Amino acid sequence: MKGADLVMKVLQQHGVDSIFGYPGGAIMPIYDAIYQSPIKHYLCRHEQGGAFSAIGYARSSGKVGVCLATSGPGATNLITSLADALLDSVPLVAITGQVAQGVMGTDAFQEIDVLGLSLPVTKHSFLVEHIDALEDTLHQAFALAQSGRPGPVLVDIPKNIQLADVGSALKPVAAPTASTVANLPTEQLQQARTLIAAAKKPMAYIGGGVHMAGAIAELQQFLTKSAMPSVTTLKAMGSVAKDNPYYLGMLGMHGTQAANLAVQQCDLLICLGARFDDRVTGKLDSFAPDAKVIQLDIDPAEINKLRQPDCAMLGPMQQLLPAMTVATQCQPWLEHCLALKQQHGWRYDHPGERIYAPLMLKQLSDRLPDNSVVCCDVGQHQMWVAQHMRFNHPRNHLSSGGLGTMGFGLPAAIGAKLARPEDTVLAVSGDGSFMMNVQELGTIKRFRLPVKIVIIDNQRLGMVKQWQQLFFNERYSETDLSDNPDFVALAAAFAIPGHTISRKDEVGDAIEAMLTWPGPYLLHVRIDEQDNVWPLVPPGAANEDMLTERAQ
Amino acid sequence: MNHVLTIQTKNQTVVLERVLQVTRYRGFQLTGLEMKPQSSKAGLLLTLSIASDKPIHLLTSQLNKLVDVEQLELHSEQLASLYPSDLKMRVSEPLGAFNARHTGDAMSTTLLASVTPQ
Ligand SMILES: Cc1ncc(C[n+]2csc(CCOP(=O)(O)OP(=O)(O)O)c2C)c(N)n1
Ligand SMILES: [Mg+2]
Repeated sequence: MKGADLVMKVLQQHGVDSIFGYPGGAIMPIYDAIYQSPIKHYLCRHEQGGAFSAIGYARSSGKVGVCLATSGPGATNLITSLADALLDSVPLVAITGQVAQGVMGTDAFQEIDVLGLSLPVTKHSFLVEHIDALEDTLHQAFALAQSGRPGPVLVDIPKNIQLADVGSALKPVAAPTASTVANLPTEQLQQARTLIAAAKKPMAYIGGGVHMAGAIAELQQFLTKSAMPSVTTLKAMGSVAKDNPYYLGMLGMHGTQAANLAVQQCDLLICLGARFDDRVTGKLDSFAPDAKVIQLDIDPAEINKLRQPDCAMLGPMQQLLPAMTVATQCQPWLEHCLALKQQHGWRYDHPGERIYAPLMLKQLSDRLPDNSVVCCDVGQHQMWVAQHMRFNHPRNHLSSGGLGTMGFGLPAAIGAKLARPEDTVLAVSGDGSFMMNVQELGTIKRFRLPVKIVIIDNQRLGMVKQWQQLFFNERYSETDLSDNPDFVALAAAFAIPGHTISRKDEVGDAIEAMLTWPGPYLLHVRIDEQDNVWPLVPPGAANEDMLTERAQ
Repeated sequence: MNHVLTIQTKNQTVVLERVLQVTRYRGFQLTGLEMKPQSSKAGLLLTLSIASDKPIHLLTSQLNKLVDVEQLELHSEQLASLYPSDLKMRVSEPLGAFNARHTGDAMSTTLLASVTPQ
């Protein structure tokens, strides 16, 4: 057997059933091995799209996503997606072909220093330098991608190694090491329980680390038993049980007023697998200014990175959360939070007959089957999705958080649909973002993937336009997209039916038609270019200083 | 403040680049660098002199996450100032878990344990 065959065999050993990629010279031996491999390869139409599909596959299923690219331009096309996976801690294995070792370092055709390029955008990366190291390296890549804080791992394989002979006996896959620890940090746990029991205004600040640690059930029990209000980051939406009355929604720049106000007022902030990102905290010095902080994470580098905790624990959330549970004494605070939530609830009473995206997304959310996956792009529509759709698990809401990458939604939806063929999968995109990986319609066409695409069309790079309006004296530099293509005709070119709507009274039927159609479908939703996302914490402001629509 | 870090690495050609990239990206200034192969085992011994106004743990915690970094020691002017004394940060497992990182164990607790004021 050849190195290339070994690659496919190891992927199989790790339970990989789908991979996403694009062939080229330096990876042809692996593509030759794919030809007879039982692993299904999905041809993307741009390596960035393929890697986003692998991310969508990983994020919607909890498994490792795998993507492939050739040397040079293929590998450079992966960089954005690797960065996206790094900042959102997505377990991803990227395999790139490299020119043969004999010509490496000579500026050979399609040679670029991929290992060097990978340094800041991966959790770790390998250049395989000998056929004898190939098998172990691939196993390590899978282990690293999933261990601790997950992330992308790149394996660059020179062509001569793909072609080298290797024995056909495979080493067994090491059993995954249990993520449990024998000795819990009893002293800090005691300290945490004391802080929680003594707090008058405790608040749970929940990030993506909780569901990535498989600790959703433990979290929900913690929130019930140690009754306290909670807020989530963009990545953690869906972590809190739908019927938890004290869940206040997303916090941060476009968070709910209730979430932001309550966090500013709390006296104990329990940070669970979150990282005090600037889109969450606003002005860092004034974030939750009166709160003591308990911080739980799996990544030691997150502890005390931006905010000094009073009590910090590293370890498996599944064990720490039950051990930290203690009764709270904060009834007045709970009631206060309920009142905040009521006072600042969303309003959907929008005048006129034009479609109001928040209302339309709420209608869509109400109509979707429970385990649907919504993949977002980046911009105003992304924030509206986070604000107005409800999710019952973070795996059902895929949004590019840390990197905020336009073009994420459509390919991510392809990966999600392949990981979860039984579930309804939607891409909610903007007229700007959709065009960034529009070529992936070709992938949908080829595999007849019944992905539903909703384009929220404001004929603008809306989010940037909103900032120009608010902070750059209404100087609308390069954000006008009023010459957009005909999106329905564009979809039709890929044999995807579609429909355009622009009035509120069309919304219900249009959603119904899209969801009941058996195949892929594109719903083009025209909205007013003036519509903006509210509330908004302006740059440099504290989170209680939100701008709201009514104040404008 | 000035710090000296000694870092033991696996013998990976790219490890020096990784260390330098992390140091630059995290905003620390390199004022001196020594690199030598380790005599006993395959690997490198790096000595970095670092100047920065930022707390040095913001660098060491990131360097420690590099898979090729096997051990990192900090020789600072004021070790105790790394973590405020009221912050009793101890880890759920002893430092022995360091190597376990590379086998996929979740506990990558390295420096935290070695410099935690007790
Ligand atoms: C790849 C990339 N380029 C640029 C940006 C900056 N950016 C953020 S939102 C946005 C506008 C997005 O427009 P659209 O997809 O139409 O969404 P809208 O805000 O109009 O809902 C831009 C350009 C980005 N996030 N990603
Ligand atoms: Mg737009």
